[in-house]
Amino acid sequence: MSSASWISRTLAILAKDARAELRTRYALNAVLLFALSSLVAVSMSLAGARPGPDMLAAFLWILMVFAAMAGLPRSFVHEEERQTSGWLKLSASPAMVYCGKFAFNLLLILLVELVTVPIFLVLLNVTPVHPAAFCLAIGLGCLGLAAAGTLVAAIVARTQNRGSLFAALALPLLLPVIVTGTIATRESLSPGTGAVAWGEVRVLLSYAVVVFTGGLLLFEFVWND
Amino acid sequence: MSSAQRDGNWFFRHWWKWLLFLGMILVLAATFLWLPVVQRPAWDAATNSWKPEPWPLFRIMIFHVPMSWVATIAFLVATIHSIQVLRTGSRLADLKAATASELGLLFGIMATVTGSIWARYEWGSFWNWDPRETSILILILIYGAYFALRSAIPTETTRARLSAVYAILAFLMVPFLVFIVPRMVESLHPAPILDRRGKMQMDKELLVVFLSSLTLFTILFGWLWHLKVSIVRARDRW
Amino acid sequence: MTDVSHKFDGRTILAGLSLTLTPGDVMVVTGANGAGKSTLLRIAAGLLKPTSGGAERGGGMTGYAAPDLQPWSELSARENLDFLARIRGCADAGREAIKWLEAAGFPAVHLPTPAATLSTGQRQRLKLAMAWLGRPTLLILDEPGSNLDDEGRSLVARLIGEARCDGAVLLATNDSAEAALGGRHLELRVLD
Repeated sequence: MSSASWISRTLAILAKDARAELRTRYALNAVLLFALSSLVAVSMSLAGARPGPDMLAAFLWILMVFAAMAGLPRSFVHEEERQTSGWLKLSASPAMVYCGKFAFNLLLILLVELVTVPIFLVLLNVTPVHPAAFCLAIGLGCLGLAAAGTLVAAIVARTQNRGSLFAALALPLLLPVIVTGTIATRESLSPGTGAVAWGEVRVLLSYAVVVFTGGLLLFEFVWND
Repeated sequence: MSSAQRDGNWFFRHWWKWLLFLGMILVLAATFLWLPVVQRPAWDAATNSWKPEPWPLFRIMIFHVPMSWVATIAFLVATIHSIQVLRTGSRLADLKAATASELGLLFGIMATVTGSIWARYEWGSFWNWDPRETSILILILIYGAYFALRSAIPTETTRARLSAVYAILAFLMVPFLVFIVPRMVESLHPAPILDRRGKMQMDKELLVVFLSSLTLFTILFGWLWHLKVSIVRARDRW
Repeated sequence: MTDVSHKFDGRTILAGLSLTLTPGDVMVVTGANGAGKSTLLRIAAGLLKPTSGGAERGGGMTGYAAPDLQPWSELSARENLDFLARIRGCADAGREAIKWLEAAGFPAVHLPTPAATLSTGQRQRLKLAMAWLGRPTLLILDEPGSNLDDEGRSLVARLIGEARCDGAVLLATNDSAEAALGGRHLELRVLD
């Protein structure tokens, strides 16, 4: 199979998911509303107090991770519930399905961050000292979230209580992202050279690469009977 | 065969278990009755110098360190057998992985509890987010998630495969935990046992008891592991 | 397929079953509920790994239509076919399938209504078209005539006729008219 055909078939899966999502906006609504309402709730309860960079970073990452948890399981749970996964199993290779679903999940999280992060900056009156490191930390964090989330979603979709297990399974695996991302964001919000932030950004990148590769290798065992 | 003979055979066939039992008792007795109390340097403000002070808390270490060691070994054993599950689809490998995880969880919890008792008297509070405390907590969370996953899959082969995938994925986190968590907070933990910080040295007697404890705990783990696997195989007749 | 056995929850469903299909074959599988018809078909399609034994498929695609496989409910009939054609790597087949469906008395193929709103019979037609898309060399149909009217049933007969020109057909049914379409028969019994 040529690589061009491989890519176009993978993109077809992404496009199918995106089209179905745009029609129902099921995941997008759930994730976006969760993120926005918790943002508003926190900034209201702070009532004008100015938390330091460490508090802000921790809040932002908890928000990101839990928002992702509201949307990520759907990618596979929905195929399993609606009994459509058989078509994919018969027509596409596991690697295509994993990459297609990963791309869709990444797009979903990035889209949500694109809306919530600016609102976070405005509502909590934050200005990143190192904007490039700040954006990169969030972007690479999304990459790691999507990589781990896609595989865990595939696992949960095959269990009995689909979906409700997702957070319990995903959180221990996501702790490295949460910790590293929080440190990177904290440093990018604090004055200084930002050297620490860039170091953490590198860790986030390697996490995403390791988990994505591991997911690609392991996915076949989850997907096929 | 008379029952006395059979009992005799039984005794000799299981000689190493008696040895293990005896060894454990000896370690226990040695720790509390025989070992001299470790002296460690303490800063004496009156004379502005380091002075030795008795430190009875060292005793918990003889049990705490082997427990966390066994929890780690169990995690490794579970990962190796999980890889085996994916390679061969073996039912036995799945049973071995699940049993190792069960024991890992048990020893992990015991290590956390003994560590907390230590922390209460040494560092002033039961929980301090020390890197090693944090790593073992994450390990316990992963084990917990592993069993939650297992209980949610009714079909045996699917359960074996999916939980193996999760265990391997969790193992991929180890380098990150080793690398990242220590940077989150300063470590309060004593440096690795054989290379102690400060002037506190491990006496020869202490070293002997400590290493015996480590060996005995490892054998205990191996025995429990084998026993549980055999029981399940005998029960399900395979 | 050689010496296939399958157990589920300790219950033996299939035991030591072997069968070979060559192009032109239409094999009908009959049997009471719970005899393992669907299990056999899932194994043949490669969707289920048997407890022992194995299924080998020659080159070419496998088409599969069964009650436990549904079209994507958010997409229209046409989008379903287009998407399947794209992931199977045969874009022309999508257009062909649409024509086939039009000829099969399916007026809604060009409408943007999502598959969820189609009637059961229409959805069954769509599933058959999805399975037949790209002319698979092995077409597996589980109860293809369920929820279909007389016209739909003649469609199934036509589909099987077309499919046996290109490859083999494996059909599970308890409908005697449908069973008569087969050249070879296999009756499964409930084991245990």
